[in-house]
Amino acid sequence: MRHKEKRVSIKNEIDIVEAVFESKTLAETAGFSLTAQCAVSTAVSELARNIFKYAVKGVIILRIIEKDGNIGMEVVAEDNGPGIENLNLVMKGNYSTGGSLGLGISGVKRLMDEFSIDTKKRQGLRIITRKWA
Amino acid sequence: MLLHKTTMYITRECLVVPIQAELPDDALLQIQIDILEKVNASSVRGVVIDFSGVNILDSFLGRMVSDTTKMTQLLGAETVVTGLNPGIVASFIDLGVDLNARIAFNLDQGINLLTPEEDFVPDIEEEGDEEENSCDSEDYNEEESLKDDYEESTTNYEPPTTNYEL
Ligand SMILES: Nc1ncnc2c1ncn2[C@@H]1O[C@H](COP(=O)(O)OP(=O)(O)O)[C@@H](O)[C@H]1O
Ligand SMILES: [Mg+2]
Repeated sequence: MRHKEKRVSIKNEIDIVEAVFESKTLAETAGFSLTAQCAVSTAVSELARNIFKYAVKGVIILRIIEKDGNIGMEVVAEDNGPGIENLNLVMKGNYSTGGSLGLGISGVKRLMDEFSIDTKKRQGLRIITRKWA
Repeated sequence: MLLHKTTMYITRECLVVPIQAELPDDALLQIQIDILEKVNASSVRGVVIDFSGVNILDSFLGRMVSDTTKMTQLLGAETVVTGLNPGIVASFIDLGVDLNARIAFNLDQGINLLTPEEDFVPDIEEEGDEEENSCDSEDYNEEESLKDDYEESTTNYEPPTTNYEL
């Protein structure tokens, strides 16, 4: 069964707002509770801002997924930027090279049900994360 | 697209800042500057940042609020955050960001926290007096005060042209 997919390319600051808006709409379509919609949109906001801030450009892919009769949402954040060197520190939280709080990625992991990150120095970053309704 | 517009106003010696819809980062930083300038120029008791118009509070917005709270404190005014919904609150806890602000359920309660009704003495001089203008706290009318003696400031954000690949 083919489900809806939405790609939002992140190049400008305003694209972050667009990605958040699309994620909220899709989460609503998937039948997520208001709280779960909010969790997904907050995660998308963090991931999209990271792309814009650290990798300059990239893409957020949003899709409705299904597994064993459960409906969920998958959020993929992809870029070809500098990648993350200190992944352990980033995952622990409160670590930022951008002068901000350093609570984005560790927060996304808590907001979503499944989280995987694939990154190499100078070879970009791909985060795949899912939340079930 | 969304309309990026925030209108702040002063009522009962409080600067009320309704955050509307999701705003881009530069618009949020502009609002922060506007708040500090307004607080400095007018002797308000405090600032009420109302979130009833937004869907999410991410770490960027959270930090903006936390910074604004600290800055207004240094200027002698307190900040109260109002209108957070359960979804926002649950997500915000997961992020682990500290708002550093006092919280009230809604706008009215936020204003009350900063300027308790019994404390409020309306400034009668500026009114173009019709009848006796005895505004005791009982029949204080917020509608009127918004229109009458209070300045408004508007932050207009013009979104840059964008091309999305959807
Ligand atoms: N897309 C990305 N490309 C390269 N580095 C990133 C990316 N996203 C995050 N990072 C790195 O991970 C750190 C932590 O990110 P995050 O948890 O979102 O907090 P913050 O953005 O406040 O620093 C960033 O400071 C940055 O060094
Ligand atoms: Mg971040």
